[in-house]
Order: sequence, then C-alpha cells, then structure tokens
Amino acid sequence: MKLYVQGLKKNFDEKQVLKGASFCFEQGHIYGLIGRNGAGKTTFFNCLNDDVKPDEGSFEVEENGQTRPLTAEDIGYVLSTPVVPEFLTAREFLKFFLDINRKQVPQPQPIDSYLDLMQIDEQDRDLLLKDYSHGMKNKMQLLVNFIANPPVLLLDEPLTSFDVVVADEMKQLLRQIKKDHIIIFSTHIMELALDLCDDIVILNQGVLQEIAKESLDNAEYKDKIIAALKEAGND
Amino acid sequence: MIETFRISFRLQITYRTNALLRSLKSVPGLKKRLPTALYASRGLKRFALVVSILREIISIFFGKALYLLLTIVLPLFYFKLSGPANFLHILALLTLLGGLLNARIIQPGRDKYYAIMLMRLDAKKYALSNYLYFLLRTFIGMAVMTAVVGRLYRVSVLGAVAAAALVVAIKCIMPALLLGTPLKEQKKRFEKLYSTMAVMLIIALLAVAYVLPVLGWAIPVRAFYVACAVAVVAAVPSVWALCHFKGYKDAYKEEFAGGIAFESTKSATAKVLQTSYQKKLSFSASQTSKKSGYAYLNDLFVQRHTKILTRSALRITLFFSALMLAGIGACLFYPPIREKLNSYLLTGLPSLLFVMYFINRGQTITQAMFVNCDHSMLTYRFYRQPKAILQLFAARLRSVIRINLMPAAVIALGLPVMLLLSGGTAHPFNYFLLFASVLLMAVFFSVHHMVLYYLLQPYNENSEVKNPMFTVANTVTYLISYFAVRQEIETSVFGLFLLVFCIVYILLALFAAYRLAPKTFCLRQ
Repeated sequence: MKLYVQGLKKNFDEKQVLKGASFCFEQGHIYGLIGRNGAGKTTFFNCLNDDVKPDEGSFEVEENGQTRPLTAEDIGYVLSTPVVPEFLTAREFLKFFLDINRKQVPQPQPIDSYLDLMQIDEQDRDLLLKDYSHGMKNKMQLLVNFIANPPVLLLDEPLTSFDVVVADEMKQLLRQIKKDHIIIFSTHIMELALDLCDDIVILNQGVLQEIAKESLDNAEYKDKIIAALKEAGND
Repeated sequence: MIETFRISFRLQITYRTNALLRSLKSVPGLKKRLPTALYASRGLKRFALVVSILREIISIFFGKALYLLLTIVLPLFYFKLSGPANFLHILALLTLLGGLLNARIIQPGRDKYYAIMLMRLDAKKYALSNYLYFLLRTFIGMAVMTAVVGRLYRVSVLGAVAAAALVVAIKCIMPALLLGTPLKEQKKRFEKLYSTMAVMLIIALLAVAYVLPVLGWAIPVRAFYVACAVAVVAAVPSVWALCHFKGYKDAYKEEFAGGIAFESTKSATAKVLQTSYQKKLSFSASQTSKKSGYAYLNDLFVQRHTKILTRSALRITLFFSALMLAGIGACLFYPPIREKLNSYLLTGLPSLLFVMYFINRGQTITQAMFVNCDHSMLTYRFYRQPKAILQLFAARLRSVIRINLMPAAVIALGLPVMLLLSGGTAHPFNYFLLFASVLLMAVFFSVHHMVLYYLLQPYNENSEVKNPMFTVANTVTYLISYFAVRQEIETSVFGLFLLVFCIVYILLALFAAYRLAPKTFCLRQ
C-alpha cells in the first residue's frame, strides 16, 4: 500500500504554510517527520485527517495496483495533546469504541486485555478519564488508534509524555505493527527519530523532502538533516 | 523607582493597546480589512494608544463620579436631604467600609505577572510606584469629582480636598495593617467578614451612614475635618511601614501561585469553563447502560449529567406541580380569582412562550455536550462521519425532549383543568389547544436549541464561541419569547398559530439538521 500526497497547499491569511507539498509514503516504513517550529507539521497532519480543508492538493491510496481517494477509515491520528471523553471511564470508552468500530474490529478481544497491553492499572480502569494524567490519557488515545488498526497512523509527538519504560514499550509496539502500516511520526527529538524511524522526511518552506541516509553513520546523518533544515530555512 | 514605574506603566499601556487591537479583530467584517501584521501597524497602534490613554484619563473621573452619584446623591435625593454635612457623613462612612472590604496593595493580574515574574522588575519598587500612582489617581479623581458633584450640596473645595485626603489615608492605613499576613490568612479573614458578626458590622456601618442622616443627624462638617486630619496623621506611620516592607516579591509569588496567570488567556478561559462543567458531572458505579454505540454514549452522558438534566427538570416539575395545585385550589376555594384566571387562560398564552423558554435547559445542555464530550470526540474522525453525527443527534434529541416534557406535561395538564374550574370556555377546542401547545412548545425549544447547536456548532477547541450567528440566533430567540409576554391574543388564535408554526418549524429544522449537520458539526478554527 502507498499513500500519495500531491501538490498540497494551505494558506492562513497571507501566510503560506504548505506550498505544494508532495510525497509518496509506503507501507512497512516508519517516517520521521521533522521540521522547525511553525513549519506546518500539525497543519499537514490536520489536512490529512480532514480537520483542516487544504486549499489545493489530493491524498490518494494505492492498493493492489488500484488508486482510490483516502477515506476516514484509513487514518488514525494521535494528537500531541491527548483528547478523550472526560465523562467516561476507560472501560466505557473502550466499549463504546469497540461498539462503533465493529466493522474494523470484527473480533474484539476482552476490554481488559487491551488495558493490560497499555498497562493501565486495574484500579484506574473504572475512573473517569477526566481524572487521568496527561500520560494516561495519551495511552488511551494511542490504544484506540491501535485497536481500530487503520493502515495510516499519524503520530504527533506521541511518546514525550510517557515515562522511559512505557516509551520504550511503545517503540517496540510501533516496530511490531509497522509491516502492515504506514506510520508518520512527527517529533522534535532527533535521537528518537533516528532510533525509531526508517526514513526521515523534513517539512521546510512548505514542502516535503526525504533525506537519504545512504552510507552515513548516525552522527553524519544528523548533521546532514540539520544542514538541510538550515539550508532550506535560509532560502 | 520612577524608572520602574515608567516601564510598568508602558507595559500596562502596551498590554491594553494590544488587547484593544485584538478585540478589533473579532468584530465581524473588520477582520479581513485589518492587515495581517496588525500589531506592527503604526497607525493602528497610535490609534489604540490614544484610546488607551483616553480611557485611563476618563476612568480616573468617571468611576468616582458614578460612585458618588449612586451611593450618595441618589439616596440623598430620594430622602430629600441636603447640606454638606449629610454628603460628607455618608462619604466618610463608606470610605471606612471600603477600607475594611478591600485593603490590599498586592492585587492579582496578568500584567503584574509579566512585569514581576517574566521581566523581573523589582517587586517592591513596582508595588510602591504603582500604588502611589493609584493613590494619586484616587486623590485627583476624588477631589475633583467631590468638588463637582458636591456643589449640589454646597460642599466646599476644602471639603472635597479633605474627603480625598481621607480616602487616600484610609487606603494607606488598611493595607499597612495587612502587610506580612499570608494570602491564605487574608482570605480566611475575608471569609470571616461574611460571618454573622462581620455582616452585622457592615450593616451597622451602612445604617450609621444612611439611617442617621434620615433621622436628622450627621457628622458636623468641622468634626469631619478633624477626622480627616487624624486619619492623615495616622497614615504617616503606615506609609513608613509600606515603604520599609521587604516581602513584596513573596507576596506577589503567593498571588500568582493560583497558576492561571501563567497561561494564555484562551487556555485559561477554556480551563475555567471545563472545570465548571466537569464539576457538574456526577459519577457512581451504579451508572451503567445496556445500550450500545452512540445510544450507549448518550445514555451515560445523561446519567452523568443528572445535576443539569434530570434533577434540574425534576425540580422545575415539582415547582410547577405546586403552582398548578395552588391554581386549582384557588379556583375551588377562592371564587373571586376565577374570572381573572379564566381571562388569562383565554388570552395569556403568549406569555407561556417565555415561561417555556425559561424552563428549557437547551443551551446549558448543549454547552455541557460540547465541553464534556464533543470537544474531545470531534477530534476523532469516526465521530465526524455523517452517520455517526446523525445517530447521536437523534439519540440526544430524544433524551432532551423526554427531559423537557416532564415539567411541560404538568403545565399542559394543569392549565386545561384550571380553565375548566375557573368557568370554562365556549370553545371546547381551547382545552385541547392549551394542552397541545404547551407540549409542542417544549418539543419546539428542545429541537430549536439542538438544531442550532448542530447547524452552527459555534465553539472552537478553546470552547470560545466563534460563530456570531449562534449568539445572534440565541438573542433573537430570547427577544421573541420576551416580547411575547406582553401580548394578549385569544388562545384559540394564538394556540392554533403556535401549533402550526411549531409543527412546520420542527419538521423544517429536522430536515435541515439531517441535510446539513454532517457538514456543519465540527470544531471551529
């Protein structure tokens, strides 16, 4: 499966944020999306998730040699600030989520096994989500996206609110599921991107550009990425 | 100290200027005409600066004038009292009361946070210079306005200056007494102010201020001058204490510890709103639902929000049950009322529109729906799918109608019974009209609020209303209901009109919601 982003443009007032960004993302890869502050990473994700209407451009999915437009079911989006329904408990949220996603999850596991996966403590499972910490809300948000299992996963700085142990487990989990997915992972932490991602894509001056690793070691690769970001920033 | 004040004053003016420019942007139609680099535009900035300075000057005098007119001139005029002694008597006692109620040199505020915490201005110099400026403003404003307003009561210029000096002296003495007292302790004391003793003290002061002049006694003008002189002398050590106090920085830190000042205005307002709605949640293990999907979500929502949904409707129902029973009782046991009631029931139906508007909790319910549920769920794409939106819309509408029908049913049953007992009507159709129009009005307002919410979903991620149409629509609804109160139209005419109107409106609104809500129900940018 491939995801084609073509000629994506988005302006806010007179500010051009995306200036015809194009890229082809492939299944089985984790893409590290890197850009400087205000480069438009979140806008790019919001356009993909249909939260913001792009001014121009298209998203298409190529599957078994056939191309079709990207649909709601194709996308899972984990926001950097987690949002969960505050008036439900973790168990209730999952029950509701499984109810309405029966098509995507025809044979759901018991709710507790999902919560075990995310290591949500037994005593916290029947608490209202409003009383969850930032990290725990993030776990819930990540979990429902894992359960729905959409082929394209957009992750906006998802690991920064986790403690080191959970962050490491999440990384393992992402590596396990990547063969069936296109994962686009936005982060400001270079080490995390180099450690987890197969490809680095920078978003600068409103366009997407892959930085090839070739035969460079990590330090050289890092310098190359920073040079590319600086170079494009000076245009 | 002058330099610190200059910086802090400029900071305050810049802060206000930018706030003014920002508010210009929210005026519909103006946003597109303003340049993107709004805060860099010199012309606009100068305009806003002039407005800010004008506002500062006006506020020096306007506030004082209003205060004197409302608290002194109005009562004196009402009791037909005259003479400078009465005027100065009330002024002196209110000043004392003001000093008791608000005696703090350290006040909270975002501009103070910026100045002291972010820009690291010297807290002591900042506090003292700003307080000095405040005292100066108070003195000038008070002296000038007392002289102007006091002319009505023959208060001399000396009297006005003495009054201003008294106010300033009290404003020095009271904060000095509080210096070094931790904020928590101050708050505790403030809460104690509301204890019975304190309330009695306040009432006593107010009584001395207002009742004594009515009884013909006021502090003689000479005694007033003596009191002012004593206060000014007593203020001298207080000023010394204020100038030599070392704990200003700590006091400010304590003031900012609440946290809200650290955040942007937007997220702070959102947080306040969110917390207030989260407090309305009631949670217990017994709340479960056998339904599934969106019906399950809605069911739990209703159960968790009984405080603003079912329980509040029950209370209203009980109130109206009592009212209806009282009405029926009056018809049975107090015949003179029958005629009046009968004529009201046959011509006063329009005013019921206002009653039904008021008992309908539509707006609070939709806001709770947004803050506690849709605010987060709308970020999930599955939740924004047309089918999902309509399923939940239908489930919610059913619940809201059911809740609003509770009090409506009581009124709908009570009114025809009252009509019958108060002498009946020549047209039996009126019984049916009263019954049906009340029920329909309940359904109408439920549909109206829900459809408005779904079609105009006005909130952005910070829970601010971003769609002026929503505010306009709500205001128009209120005004129409309000103006209906005074109308007297025969029930047979108005009831029939209402019946037809409600049915047509409900059908059209539902049609519009089903066609358009999938497109319009999303987070505003």
